[in-house]
Amino acid sequence: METIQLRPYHRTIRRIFFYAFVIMVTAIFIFPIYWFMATSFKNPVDILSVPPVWIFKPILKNYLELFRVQHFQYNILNSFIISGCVVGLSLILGVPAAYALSRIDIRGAKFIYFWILTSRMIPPMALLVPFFLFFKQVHLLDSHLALIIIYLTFNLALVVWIMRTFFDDVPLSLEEAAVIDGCSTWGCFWKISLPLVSPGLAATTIFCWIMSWNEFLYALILTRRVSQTAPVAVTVFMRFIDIRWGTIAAGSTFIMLPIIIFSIVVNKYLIAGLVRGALKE
Amino acid sequence: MNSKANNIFIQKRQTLLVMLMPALVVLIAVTIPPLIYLFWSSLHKWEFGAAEKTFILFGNFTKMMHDTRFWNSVALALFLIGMAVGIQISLGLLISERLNRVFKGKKIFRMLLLLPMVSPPVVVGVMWRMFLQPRLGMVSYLLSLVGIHTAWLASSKTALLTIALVDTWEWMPFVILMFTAGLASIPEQLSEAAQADGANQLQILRYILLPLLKPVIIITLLFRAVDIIKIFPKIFIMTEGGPGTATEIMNFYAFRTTFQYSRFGYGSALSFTIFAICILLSVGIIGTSKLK
Amino acid sequence: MKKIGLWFLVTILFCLLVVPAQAQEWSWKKAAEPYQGQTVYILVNFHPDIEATLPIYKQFEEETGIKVQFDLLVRRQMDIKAETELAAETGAYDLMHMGLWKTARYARRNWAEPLQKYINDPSLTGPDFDLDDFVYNALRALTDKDEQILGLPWSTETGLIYYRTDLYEKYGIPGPPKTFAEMEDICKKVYTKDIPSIALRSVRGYGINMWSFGRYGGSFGGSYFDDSMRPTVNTEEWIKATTFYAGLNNKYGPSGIGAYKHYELVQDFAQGQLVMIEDAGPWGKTFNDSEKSKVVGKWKAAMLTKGPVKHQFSHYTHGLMIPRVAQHKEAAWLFLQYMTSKEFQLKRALLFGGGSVTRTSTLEDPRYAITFDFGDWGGINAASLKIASAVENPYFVPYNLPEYKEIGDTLGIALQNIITGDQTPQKALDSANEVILGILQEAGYVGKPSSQFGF
Repeated sequence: METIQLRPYHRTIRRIFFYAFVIMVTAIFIFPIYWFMATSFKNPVDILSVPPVWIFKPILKNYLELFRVQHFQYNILNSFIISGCVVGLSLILGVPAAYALSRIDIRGAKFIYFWILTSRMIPPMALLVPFFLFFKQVHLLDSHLALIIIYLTFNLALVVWIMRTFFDDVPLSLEEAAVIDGCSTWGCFWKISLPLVSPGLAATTIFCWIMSWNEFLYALILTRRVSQTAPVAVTVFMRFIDIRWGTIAAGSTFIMLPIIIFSIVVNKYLIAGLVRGALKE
Repeated sequence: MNSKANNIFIQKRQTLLVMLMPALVVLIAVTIPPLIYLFWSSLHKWEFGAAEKTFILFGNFTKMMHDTRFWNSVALALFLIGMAVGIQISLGLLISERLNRVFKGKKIFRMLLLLPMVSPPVVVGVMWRMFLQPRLGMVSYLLSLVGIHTAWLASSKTALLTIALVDTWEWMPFVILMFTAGLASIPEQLSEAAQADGANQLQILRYILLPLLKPVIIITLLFRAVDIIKIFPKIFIMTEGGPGTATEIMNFYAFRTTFQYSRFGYGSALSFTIFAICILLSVGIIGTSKLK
Repeated sequence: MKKIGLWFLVTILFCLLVVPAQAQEWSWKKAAEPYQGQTVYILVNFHPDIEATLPIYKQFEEETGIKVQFDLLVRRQMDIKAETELAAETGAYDLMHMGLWKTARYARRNWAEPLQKYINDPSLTGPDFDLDDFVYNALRALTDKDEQILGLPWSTETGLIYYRTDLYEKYGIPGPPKTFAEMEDICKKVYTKDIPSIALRSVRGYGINMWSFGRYGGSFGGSYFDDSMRPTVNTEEWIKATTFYAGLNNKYGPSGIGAYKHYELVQDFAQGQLVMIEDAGPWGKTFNDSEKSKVVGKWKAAMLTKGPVKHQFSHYTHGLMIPRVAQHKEAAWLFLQYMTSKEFQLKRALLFGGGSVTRTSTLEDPRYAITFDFGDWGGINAASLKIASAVENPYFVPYNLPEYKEIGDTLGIALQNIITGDQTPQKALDSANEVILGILQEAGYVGKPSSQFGF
């Protein structure tokens, strides 16, 4: 009798602990961001005061400066064009390649796989000068295309690597059955495996987007004014004399915004991962 | 792991090669030529921007062997990887194991979790430098409320750890994202069965989830290790490699050498060595994990 | 007929007098005529003096028909970008930033166009240009070892001491320190845990802690090199200097001083958390801005203190150079001339508070003194620049060596190690000395007389 009565009680306690845990984890990751975003609505003198100012009169000056003086909207647009193309291309090229690497059985597949990983390990600093000289020769400095090509180096490898792990997890029995039913290799890939790895795909896309969206060093050196991206533009406010915390925070907020929207959109696929467990036996 | 696949896929090899080739060609085109250029310049004594250069074969590499600042930077990089990856993998496992269930607000939680990773790295550096300012920083202030007074970046003992912690803050979400995706593919019945057999949470994690998660863990580990070895803006903005040389990891030393001391040849040799060390590192990680 | 002859004579005389005068009449419009429609691309850092330039340079465009396009980046990121562009000889920029310790490097690599021929060309350079009017220190920073002028300065500064007048009064301190001994004495008297006495830059770097520490070695009687260009940075004098610098920071500075660079110094002082700092000139404007500072009206500037042996200054100069591969050199020269001219420097200072001007005439203008009256800043800034120009000849810090960045970094690492207590001064400086010796040997300097390098 006693145990039966205790159970709901235990469950409540555990639930409280669980949510406390979730809130704590969230707080650790989110509080700095909140504090930083709040900065974008503060006057400079409130930003670094001791003790911290919790309640303040919000101002929009920082945002006005960002868009009126710095014309940040163009930088955002540049970032969109570049990241969009990079993510699209990397997925189009990378996902089939990942699938192929997962299924193919040729000599050297392991080597190819390994080499794709290594291509991600080259420090960007090392490639900076060769790339700069090359793009100068072909007159592509300060163009969107130059950055798209460079970002492909690390994003393609990323897609292949992550996606291969996910394809490896797809039970072969499913594909075998489909092959027997007369499904082609492309068909297997397109109709059977790809839907099953959609959570992985969503995660990879986000990750890929972040890598190109936030890239800094190449964007700094290879652009001038036509194709300057948002992260480079935002650092302009880190001036020698006074770091414009407010404006930087305002810019960063706008940099984070697309990812938030994007993750709301793909959430369906991320959640699908939870249901997927049932498929695997 | 797909050797079974042979029989059905053997005829499909051609199609698979077609799928593989475009990516392969693009990758070769964008990585091999610059690498050759890098190696070629590492064989020269070459001032950045100078027209003339002297061929010295492996002179730069011999010099590196006697360069204490270089060895210091290698040790620091490895130390940083060990520290940051250790924290991230273990915490990531714990957190994602806890969260591997359906609960209210999970969507929002997952979305919020993405934010640190999305912040521009340069801004992350500046932001944490601001938070960690000993006297005016938010984090320093909050910690001082509970009686902790540490000048995080001002001591050679804590500076590297601070970098590791900031990196953890920024990239933990990625680790959690990967692990939860991995955990989601593990059938719940397995852990349920183990639970019925009287295994506790830790045992389930150790004996059931961990082995099944291994491929995901390895790949996460590799990605993090490679990214950490390339950490730049955080060090550039938060410590400048200091105090002294306490956070001057390889990558940063190569940057200083190439762009600030104008030693292009030597800098290239350093970059090339970083590349080589990365390869060794990943061979090591893959080798010890016996992952195919 | 006589009359006609007279008229003829008068006409000739008139022509003789007027025509040359007309030829001499120089205007921006006329000088720029052949270059109309060109665009001058500029790569420069986002400095407050550039910020003060932006609202008023349009007048140049209107007068000359030459367009000007600024690409603004943060200083150190701009440095990397600038040097990559120069090394690859892209010719994308017609004017690029060059500063004190860049000149020697740019000169060695032959990146900058010598400006003498533009200065001497009467069709390109106005009669008002007056090279001698530039602050000596500023122009020298952009002149290479062969006395070629490679750039013109648009902002120049020395270090200053900023102190809180209200707190000085509270502790009964009569005035700012004039010597290092007085500095330490005041620090001792005003120290509290809540508002520490002083903070000096600690973070390593040729342009960070070495910018302010650079002068200490000389002030204590040390020198960088001996007569045959061997480094001498581990001598008694240097140990004294580093011990003093680190001591001020550790004994009278805030906790966590080991990670302080100019950002922290300025922010702490602006928030009223420090009694004094020793840092760069342009901060005056920040401290006087009530949006950024809580100490408006409660501080004053003072000249850098004298050492036991010498009175030395820390300084920096920002300039612009014309790359050798630039595509619109003449147009670039016209804008550079305009931007550094007497009128423009004065206008910039008076209208938008770009106070670190490079023209002596502006510094001596009474209106300048009135505009920058706050905390005695304008007067002290002008006086410091004048004295620094006079006392520091030749350079004490080896800014004129292309290897300065590496030498400065080495010493900067040692200094930070001393401040954080990781190494004793002797040990830190010994190892720095050895590294610098290696750098100088590789450059082939060791053994040559140091007078050859201007020391």
